[in-house]
Amino acid sequence: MAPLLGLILVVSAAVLWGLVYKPDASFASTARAALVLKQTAIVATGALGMTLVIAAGGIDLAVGSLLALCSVVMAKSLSVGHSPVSALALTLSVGLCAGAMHGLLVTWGRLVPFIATLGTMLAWRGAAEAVSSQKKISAEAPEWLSSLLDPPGASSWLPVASGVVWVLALALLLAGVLRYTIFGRRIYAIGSNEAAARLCGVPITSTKIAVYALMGCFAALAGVLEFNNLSAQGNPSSAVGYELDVIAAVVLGGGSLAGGRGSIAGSMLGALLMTTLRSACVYAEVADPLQKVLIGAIILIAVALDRWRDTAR
Amino acid sequence: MMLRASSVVRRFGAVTALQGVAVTLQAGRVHALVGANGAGKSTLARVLAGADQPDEGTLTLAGQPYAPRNPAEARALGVSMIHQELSVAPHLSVAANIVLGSETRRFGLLQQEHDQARARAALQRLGRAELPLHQLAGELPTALQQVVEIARALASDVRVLLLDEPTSSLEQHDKQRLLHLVDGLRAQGLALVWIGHHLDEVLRVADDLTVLRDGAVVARHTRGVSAEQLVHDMSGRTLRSAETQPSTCTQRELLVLRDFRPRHYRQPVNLTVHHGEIVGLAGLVGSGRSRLLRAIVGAVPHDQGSATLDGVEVARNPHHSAQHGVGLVAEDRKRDGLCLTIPIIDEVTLSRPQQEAYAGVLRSESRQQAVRACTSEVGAKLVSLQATAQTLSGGNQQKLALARLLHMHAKLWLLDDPTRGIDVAAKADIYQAVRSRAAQGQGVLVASSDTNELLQWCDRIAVVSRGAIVDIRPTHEWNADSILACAAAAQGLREEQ
Repeated sequence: MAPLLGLILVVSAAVLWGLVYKPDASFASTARAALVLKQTAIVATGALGMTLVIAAGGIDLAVGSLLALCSVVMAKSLSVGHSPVSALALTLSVGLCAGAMHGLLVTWGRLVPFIATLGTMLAWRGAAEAVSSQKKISAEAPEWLSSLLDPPGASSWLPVASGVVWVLALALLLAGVLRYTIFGRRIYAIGSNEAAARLCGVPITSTKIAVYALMGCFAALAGVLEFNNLSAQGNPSSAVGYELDVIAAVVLGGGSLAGGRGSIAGSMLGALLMTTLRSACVYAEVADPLQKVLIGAIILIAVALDRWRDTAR
Repeated sequence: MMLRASSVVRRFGAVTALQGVAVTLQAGRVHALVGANGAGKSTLARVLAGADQPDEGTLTLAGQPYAPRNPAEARALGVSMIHQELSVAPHLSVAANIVLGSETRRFGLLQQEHDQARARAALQRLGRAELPLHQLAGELPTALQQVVEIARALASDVRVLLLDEPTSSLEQHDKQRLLHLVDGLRAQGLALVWIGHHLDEVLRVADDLTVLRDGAVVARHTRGVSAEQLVHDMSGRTLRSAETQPSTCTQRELLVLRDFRPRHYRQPVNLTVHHGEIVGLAGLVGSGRSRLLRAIVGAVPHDQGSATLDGVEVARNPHHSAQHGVGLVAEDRKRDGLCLTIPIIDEVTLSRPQQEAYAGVLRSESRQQAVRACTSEVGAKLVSLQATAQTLSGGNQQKLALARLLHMHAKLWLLDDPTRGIDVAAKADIYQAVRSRAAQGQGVLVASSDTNELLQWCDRIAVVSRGAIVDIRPTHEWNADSILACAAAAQGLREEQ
């Protein structure tokens, strides 16, 4: 499993570096692990939905904008006095509807997913700016909602932020769906060969709409986490480039943009690998520009290795 | 002696595809490689053409050591292979296709006039000088695209030409032309390799024959060997070939097409398939055979009329049809026949997964049992149900598609050229499976370009031409010639109009 191997390599390299240059502050600390997990949560949430989309042979470029829209909707509805539960429900339904619309565009609209979501990527960003009047919106949120990504309090029995646990639970659920349900198996069939799946009687339209709608829900959840991360703020210009992080996580985890491949465990490890890498760079005091080059290079190497191993088989 | 390979070994993981194979190709002779699917013919050809590298063994070309690392190196040394799937660039002209990869350049600029002359010379050697050099290759019919590919090999001074199942997508008439063309190339002193499943063609064209089985050479023959001998060598057993089983046709109507006109059909179709009946659709490629089958599952829309299965309206969409017992095995396995990269178990259960599921959640135990039962009934040889279909030979892939129809309890089997590119033994297995389903009361509608096969399989045969059924009769009123004559006559009639 390539991403796991990469993760082990990065962590051990950082630990070794620390032994030599920073003997008083090891890389492998619980505090850092908690921080890395927290930073991973938002990308991982998007990667859950994106795994389904990519396994079905599609792509969703609009997750970043949709995330921003959802975080703004969350903040706005709280600030105008909605209850936290109804704000949450509203946010999720915005994600669901937007995602379902993506599904309609690629099925009935017969648009290529790349183009369809390129268009809506702009549209959702504009919608986020319209809802927020192009300003950050601050809101009051109750403790259980605003502390999703905070470090666990002294009284908490969880070792990590509660949001991280939620993401893990969702990942387990979704992995089960992909592996043990008709819906999950159909996703891979569509991604493998859509024309054949159609002739075999797989309901392509409904399956695809469901996949994109789920992606929308996960973008909304990521929006809620982002709202937390910004200390109960909705920012219409947040999460620019987020879609690429999410796609990179899925591809690092073994997903193929040609469709038919991808796993939840892989995508989660892929997301974790990227944040760990960033954290290790910060720890090793690598300059920011070099950090970007490094991460880009590692994504390329990891994916290329995976493909070579595949063709060698 | 042109090209000699000795003790060639090629392993793929635990599987040994070639175990010490030796073969000698001679100039001015056609060497046929025959064997069942998975016997190693294609692997050997790929090794000879540089597309695959042997793990052991030596190759010599005209006395010199020959170890191409890729097809381009082999081509530079004069060894070319024409694959079953043609690699013509559809948006380039005929001339550009012929010189593709060997363009003449001077100071980095293409020497188009020189290249055109080369292209014309290559076509002349093939006796096809009349082909327009400026036409886009994609506009040509398959047979002529193949000519363009052979011309491409000739334009780069080919000495050894390998043809992998060259007749698989050709009409009868074009097959004959290709055989003549091969005769011509032989006379020009090329060493040719012919890989094919159709024994009549192999026997007609080959000077030397090498029979492979399970990656080893089991027999060598020269011109004059009998078909029975070859079949025996290939399968290691004596096949009771072409044994027709009695009809199981009943009087109960299964599929009723009433004034059913698929889009782009010239005339509406009225056709009934009874329980237990096998009906054949004969016709040339492009006649509308496949289109009718696809319209019945609802993958192609129909403009008028109705299709009912046991009284239930079908032909709405493929999902609806599958739920009501219409199963289709598509013509082109790679294009839309199979999902090659999903596990076999998912492939077989794709049409009706709900049979082994509770509220959408799959029950893996009963699923495995069901799939094993289906795959063993059609005689598919599988290592693991979790492997993907792309690891299987063509014959086994086709058996998976049939296993899917078994698993979904299809009442109506729509088979589009089900034995295309499949060896004799697998053909016999598939015929057995289809016949036994018919005996249990299911109906079969099978389209095929192989008229002999239709004559053997079917109770009735309909001839399709230019989007209409032009004639339908019981099989005993047809023979191979009358079917072809009927298909061609209807075609000619239209052209006169």
